[in-house]
Amino acid sequence: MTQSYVIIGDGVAGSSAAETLREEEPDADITVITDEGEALYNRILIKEFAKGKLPEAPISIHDESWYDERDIDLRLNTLVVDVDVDGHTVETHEGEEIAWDKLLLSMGGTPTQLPVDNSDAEGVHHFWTFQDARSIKSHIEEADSSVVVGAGLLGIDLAAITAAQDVEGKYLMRGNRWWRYALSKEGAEIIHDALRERDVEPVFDSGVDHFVTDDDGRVTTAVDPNGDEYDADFVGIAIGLNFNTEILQDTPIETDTGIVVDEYMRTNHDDVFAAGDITEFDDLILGERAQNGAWGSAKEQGSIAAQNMVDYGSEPFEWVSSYSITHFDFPFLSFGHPTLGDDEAEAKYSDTEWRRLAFKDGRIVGGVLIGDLSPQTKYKQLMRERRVVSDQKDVLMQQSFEIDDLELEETPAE
Amino acid sequence: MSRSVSNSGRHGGPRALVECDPTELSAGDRVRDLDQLSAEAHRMFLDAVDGSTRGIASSDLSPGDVIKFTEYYRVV
Ligand SMILES: Cc1cc2nc3c(=O)[nH]c(=O)nc-3n(C[C@H](O)[C@H](O)[C@H](O)COP(=O)(O)OP(=O)(O)OC[C@H]3O[C@@H](n4cnc5c(N)ncnc54)[C@H](O)[C@@H]3O)c2cc1C
Repeated sequence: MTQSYVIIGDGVAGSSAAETLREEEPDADITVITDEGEALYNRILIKEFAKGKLPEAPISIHDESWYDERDIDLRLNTLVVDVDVDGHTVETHEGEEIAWDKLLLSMGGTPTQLPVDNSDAEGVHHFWTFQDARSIKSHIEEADSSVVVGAGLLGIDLAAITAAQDVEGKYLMRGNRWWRYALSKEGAEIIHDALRERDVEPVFDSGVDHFVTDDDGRVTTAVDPNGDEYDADFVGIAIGLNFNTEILQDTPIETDTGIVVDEYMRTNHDDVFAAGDITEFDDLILGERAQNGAWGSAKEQGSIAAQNMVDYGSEPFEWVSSYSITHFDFPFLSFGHPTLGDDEAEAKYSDTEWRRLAFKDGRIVGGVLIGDLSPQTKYKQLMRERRVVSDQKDVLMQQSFEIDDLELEETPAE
Repeated sequence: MSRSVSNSGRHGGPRALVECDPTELSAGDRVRDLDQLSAEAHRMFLDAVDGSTRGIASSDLSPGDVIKFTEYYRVV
């Protein structure tokens, strides 16, 4: 009998699952449902579009013919509003019921709103979709002053957009530095300097208490909890993601902040799988449950989920995630889980070169490299092999570090 | 703008990278971020940009591909 697969979400996780399913199951019925009005596009590069660097066209990855050629039924502009796990159906906003034998949940997340007055005013932007990027671009091109809120990996994209568009800005952060959970003051200072060079001023121990608007409801000012006021006719907010699990309420599918899956991307229901940013998965390398928020990881999870939907247990997800920032003259790369761990090592080599490793139980679980990315492959290898190395920090922190310089057990730790 | 950062071998051999202007890209160009390369292409790309190898040879990087790093680079 022909199997039917339904995939909710046409981000990179959903799309790569559809591609793998078609390769594995030439005769299956495959339906991909997305509430967005366009097929898979390059979510990473929408920031380059908003900066005014890239035109729209190269950001598209698949057009509708890609799905036609693979006999995949793509439903654009279609929101799934309910999942019936026992009945094996999903329901769309138009009341249509679509049946499935196996279901993939790859709905990603939605930017968290700032819970303060006027955070929905005109001129206040969140950043996740191409549509968001279009409205950010058209607005920032007209703006005189900006405020960005959220000292993380997406916040810095918004700050880089204001800089690229020559709009002076204030970057409001809660603590005393950018991405304080992964960087020390010394490492973060390299980023702060790069922002200042581009007329974006980091403001520490700040945040937003409320926004002030004009009579037309347009934002004019951000007021921080200290009472300081910052003029802004453009505001960008990136304070985190809420994972799109609400359609699973009243289902037996286990959720926490995201959807809980095993290393094969299966939920607690045999016929329901999940992939991408939305999963909390058994991280075999870390040895505990984890969540990734990166393109490569989401793509791999989509493909792994598809293989296990066809043949459960065939392929586990085992992956060291990485995420780079390339807005400045020097590169920045984080890998693994740099915000976790029970031990750390760091070193600064020049005004734009810095490194930090995070360890758990003696093993590397993540790191951040600024300036010189050359040791990343070696650190990732040690992490993948679960080598106990935290007793050799001096060697690991040597600028031209080589794995051969370490004293290693012959076989990688289990 | 087309500054060469790595040297190319001949047909089928290692490829070179040149800096390019993103505003001049066309609709058909495949543009990716560093984070979207395979592990092998990621490593080779970084080695080529920092000059530690002379060319790149990865099945994930074809002539014409554009990669966003601190600048935009085209594989030639
Ligand atoms: C501006 C920006 C910059 C980024 N930069 C980087 C970077 O430099 N490097 C990196 O590795 N990663 C980066 N990321 C993160 C990366 O893009 C994500 O990790 C990845 O795209 C997640 O893919 P996904 O398929 O899991 O989810 P998504 O891409 O979020 O896809 C989920 C899809 O499901 C749809 N959906 C949700 N609910 C429903 C429903 N009920 N019915 C129908 N459809 C639904 C959503 O609209 C969405 O289209 C960036 C992200 C953004 C926004």
